[in-house]
Amino acid sequence: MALLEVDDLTVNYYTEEGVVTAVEDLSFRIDRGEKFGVVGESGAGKSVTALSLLRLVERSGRIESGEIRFKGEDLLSMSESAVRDVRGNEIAMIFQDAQTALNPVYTVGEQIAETIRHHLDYGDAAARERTVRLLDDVGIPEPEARYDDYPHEFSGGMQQRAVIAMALSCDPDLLIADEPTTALDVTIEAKILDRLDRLAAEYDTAIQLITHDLGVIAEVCDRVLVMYAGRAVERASVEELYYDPKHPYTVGLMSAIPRIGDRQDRLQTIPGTMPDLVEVPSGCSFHPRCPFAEEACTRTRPQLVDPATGERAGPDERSAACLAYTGDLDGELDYEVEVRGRDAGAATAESEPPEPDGGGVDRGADPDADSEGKADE
Amino acid sequence: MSDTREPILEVEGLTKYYESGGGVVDTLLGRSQEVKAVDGVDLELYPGETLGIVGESGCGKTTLAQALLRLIEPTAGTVRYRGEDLTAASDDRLRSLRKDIQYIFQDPFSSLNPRLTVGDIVGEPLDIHGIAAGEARTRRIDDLLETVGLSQRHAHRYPHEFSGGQRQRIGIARALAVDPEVIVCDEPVSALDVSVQAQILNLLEDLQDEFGLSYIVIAHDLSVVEHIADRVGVLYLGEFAEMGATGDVFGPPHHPYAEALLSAIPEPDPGWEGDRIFLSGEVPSPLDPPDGCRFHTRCPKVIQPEGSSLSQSEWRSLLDLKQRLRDADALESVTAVAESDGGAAGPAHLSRSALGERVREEFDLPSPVSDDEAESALSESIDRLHDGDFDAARAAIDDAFESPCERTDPPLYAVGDGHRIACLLYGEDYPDAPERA
Ligand code: SF4
Ligand code: SF4
Repeated sequence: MALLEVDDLTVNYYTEEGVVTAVEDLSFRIDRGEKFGVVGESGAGKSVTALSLLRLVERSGRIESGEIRFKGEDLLSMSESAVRDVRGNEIAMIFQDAQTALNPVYTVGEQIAETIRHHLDYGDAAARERTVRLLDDVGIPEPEARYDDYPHEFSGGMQQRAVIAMALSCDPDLLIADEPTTALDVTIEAKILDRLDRLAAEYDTAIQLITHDLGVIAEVCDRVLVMYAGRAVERASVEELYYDPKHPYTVGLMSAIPRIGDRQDRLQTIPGTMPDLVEVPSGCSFHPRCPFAEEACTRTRPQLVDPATGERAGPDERSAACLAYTGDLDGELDYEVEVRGRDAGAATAESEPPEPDGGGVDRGADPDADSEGKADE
Repeated sequence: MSDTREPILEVEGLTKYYESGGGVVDTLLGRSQEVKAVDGVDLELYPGETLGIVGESGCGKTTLAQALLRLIEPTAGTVRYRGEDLTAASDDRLRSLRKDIQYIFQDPFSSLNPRLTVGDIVGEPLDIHGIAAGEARTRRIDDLLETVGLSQRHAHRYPHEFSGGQRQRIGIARALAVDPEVIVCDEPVSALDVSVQAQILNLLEDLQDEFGLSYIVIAHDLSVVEHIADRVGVLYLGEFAEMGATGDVFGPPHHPYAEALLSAIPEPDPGWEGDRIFLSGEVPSPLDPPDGCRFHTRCPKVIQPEGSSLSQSEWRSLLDLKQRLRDADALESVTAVAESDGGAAGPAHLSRSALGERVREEFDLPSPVSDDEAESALSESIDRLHDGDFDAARAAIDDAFESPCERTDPPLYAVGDGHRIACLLYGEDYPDAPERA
């Protein structure tokens, strides 16, 4: 049995502009100790997925259907107090903004110690000792002295370390990290990811890492789910995803990132932006931006299938949601993955979807704001 | 190559200090401190080129960009645009010079007036500089919107109706309205999604080709800068650590800071096995930047005194200990956290040898370290710590471990054609340094 099982999860938000389906029919599994990545751009539904795992969707949101089982137990039918227990003890969460996770009026050490006393029933001295050790574990120098510092006396990187210490304080089985290093500088990010990775192994904690950064995913994760407009479009191991991407959106993302050591003149682009979730395009929601889209894509919604067989894939199998794999397209997905490097031995995937409007000054935009709306956030 | 041309923008000794924190009382008592955000920066921008400026938060890159344009008043230095000193220009003159030098902000939303239509946002500079009115104004706005990949239908809408990428396009159209020569772009894509980021970077490059623009692009993302820039400057604590053609800066020889920065980028490739260089500590406060080379408190290559035969990592660790000891008044500051404390007894109760072990553990130092003299200074210092005499412990290692990097502030040494590195390893005194590839 997987540690976490999510089946057919659908979450709606009721807004003034209408019902927004933030997550639709989402299924995935996370095993014990596994590092599972969820990648996508803003509006993809990544964060909503994380929040619903803890039943924390805001008031306007509602989990419409689906099941979330943690260690076999149905989280959605648990009592509020039972969920609260799970939240503190077994599933912990780290957000992008460390500041909101720390209470400004208590010292950093006290906040962590309080969590430990509360959840693990430790006495004062033992809680303090464990806190100091945790602060040391996450790489905070002079933990004894920093114990009594207030959050504002910590730098951004140190605050995020403290939040990680707090998240690990009760030895959770699952750590959900939502863009944990996005606000930090690269040299700090590298150190924190390295710590997170080592600590997860040491504490045998599974991580669900949510990010827009394909570099971070490649560094940390074992398996990845790619989301687009509230739906999973591809699921694979990191190696499969980076060296053999199957969904046109994944391919587009991979080739849109500038890479060190690859001084091509132009970046590949995905035209347009993520659709407004109030008005998700019909059929395959990626079709207005997909270089391979055909008539059928505007009508039929692709299911997650095994790209080799076209059969419906189980919630932990390699899969992609594109009609090309179910024989519903006339053409083929015509792209190449080329392996190039930052230096010898390294590899990058470079793909070449056909240019839809052949050369010239490609302004890259879709000039039609109507179909685009405000897409980010 | 670039040296044969006249720079369009020439910056010399640009400096910006802020008064920090302290209230009126502090100021009266002369207690307020200065934040040295940008400290004597030189740069040139040549026509048609893109100069990238990278650095982490607190390095002064945004202050530099704004001081360049006198969006904030520089403390010292000159900025010459086609030979004319901007820092000496009258307000009127400055206003008309700003026509030639435009600024694009990071956050396309907060920089656009939410109450104006897109047409008026783009048209505003046309009005201010009396460039076009009536029919001509409308036509110019339509042209501009089309140039940046929007359409004239968008002119009547408001900024909130647009996505982040489109808003950045609006910001670019506005900057282009006055036909500038130079555009300073402050983190132009950092607020955007990956797929949209690529569109904007391509657009900036197309516009450069079409209108012969020169750009200064400020960014924290090295891969963005590598992609778009012809030359790059790497800022650390308000000074350039390295400057040169993009290919030169991204390849060896490196400034030790630039090298660490490059190694830290998460590579979008699960098979990539690069060696990460982890820097000790954090960026020091610009209130009180380190003496000598500003990077010496964290530099993995920090130079050993003559005759020392320590391994480089031991040397780095000893300097870390020395820095830590500088403001330490408790043993907890310099000892590792015990595996299990077995009671409340702190390090003050440890035996001399147990204390020694804990100090070495905290700083990853072997016992003994590989240089005899260094070892005797280290154990002398631990002896004094054991006595509880911190001053004596400090004295014992302060003199023994001193790097030239703590004393000498390296100038930018030329290491190649237009490639300069501010590190003593590249100076005359270290002709044999392995870094001099
Ligand atoms: S189903 Fe059609 S539009 Fe969707 S990804 Fe596949 S080819 Fe593209
Ligand atoms: S001068 Fe010394 S401290 Fe500074 S970068 Fe060079 S080696 Fe490092």
